[in-house]
Amino acid sequence: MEIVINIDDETPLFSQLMEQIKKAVQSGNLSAGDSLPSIRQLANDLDLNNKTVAKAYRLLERDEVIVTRGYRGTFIHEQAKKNSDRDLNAWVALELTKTIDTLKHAGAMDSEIRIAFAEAMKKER
Amino acid sequence: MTTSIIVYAAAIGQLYLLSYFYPKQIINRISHVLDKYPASTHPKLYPTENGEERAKKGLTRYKYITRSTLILGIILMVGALITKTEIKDSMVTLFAMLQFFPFMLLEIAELNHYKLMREENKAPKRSADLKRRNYFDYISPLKFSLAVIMFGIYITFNLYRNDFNLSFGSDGLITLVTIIGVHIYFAITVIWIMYGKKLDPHQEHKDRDRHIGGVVSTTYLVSIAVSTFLLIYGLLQHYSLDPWEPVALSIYFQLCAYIGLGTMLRTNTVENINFEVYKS
Repeated sequence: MEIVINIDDETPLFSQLMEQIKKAVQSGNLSAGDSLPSIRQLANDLDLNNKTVAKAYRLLERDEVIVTRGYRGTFIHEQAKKNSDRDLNAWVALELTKTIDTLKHAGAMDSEIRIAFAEAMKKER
Repeated sequence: MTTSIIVYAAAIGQLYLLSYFYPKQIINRISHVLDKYPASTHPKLYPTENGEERAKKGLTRYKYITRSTLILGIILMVGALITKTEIKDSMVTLFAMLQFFPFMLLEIAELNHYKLMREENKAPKRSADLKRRNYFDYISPLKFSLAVIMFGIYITFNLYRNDFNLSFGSDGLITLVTIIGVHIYFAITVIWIMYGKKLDPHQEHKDRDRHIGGVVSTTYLVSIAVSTFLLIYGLLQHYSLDPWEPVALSIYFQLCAYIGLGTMLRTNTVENINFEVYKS
């Protein structure tokens, strides 16, 4: 199974990696339990920074598409096929749009929403 | 007398294998690539301007160096025969170092060539195999354990022979540190070739896999050869069979060449390499 990235593409490199791994899971090219290359191996093969591959792996792990088992390596998650359909970015954008609509409907101004959003994010940290 | 004949036979074998046979195979291989895949059809194979010319000049230099070594070897051998000089193990080692020198130069030139290829590679698309490379994909655990056993046998023998004396500066400690150092070097080479930067940016995945397999097999076989040779060499010294030491050394160097160069030439034949990737 080959992965191809385009460094001239507008899509961030980590997103290209994530998308292709998810597509490979959906198409059945990668199945639950299959091992993935280490961060260093994939980064060197694609001539990318280790941090780019690490970010893609971290987000795929968060989405439960892959699972890291210490020194044994990184594997495709048991529920990967189901979870690879989920697009957290799209869901976040949808939920935020809904919330902003509700706030605007209540009469809140853009600047008030921005300040409140920034405050809420600060509290989260 | 018999020992002398065997020593000379071993030295002739070493001269033939390291200064004639393998250099000739390498020269034929490079010439074949230069003839069949020129810069006009396979520009990516020659990363710089006049890359083909540079490669041809490099090949001519390599021919001169190896031929000079061969001629020097013949002169030394004839001189030793005429003057009835006894061939010592230090002479065998020094001449082997000289014979291995062109191969080392070739290796450095190859690494520089790959570096230029990477610098010149402006293709926006990059690909990788989504498969974790594992050492045991290239060599079976059973074979690997044989190398470990040989290593263990030699270490035990070395300790026994030196009365378990590992004091600073002792022979036992020096040999132990040397053999461990050699194996650390092998391990670093294997890790570098398996997980390090892709040397040739255009190389197909299966060609790279074959190359890695060749390096893994070579280091594994050389590891066994080193342990076995040191064991035999130690036994010869232990039983005061000093006249046989040059024979053992010469056979060892020939074996290293057979394993190192022979394995790479056999596993990575030109016919198996996909040269389509070097087209424009």
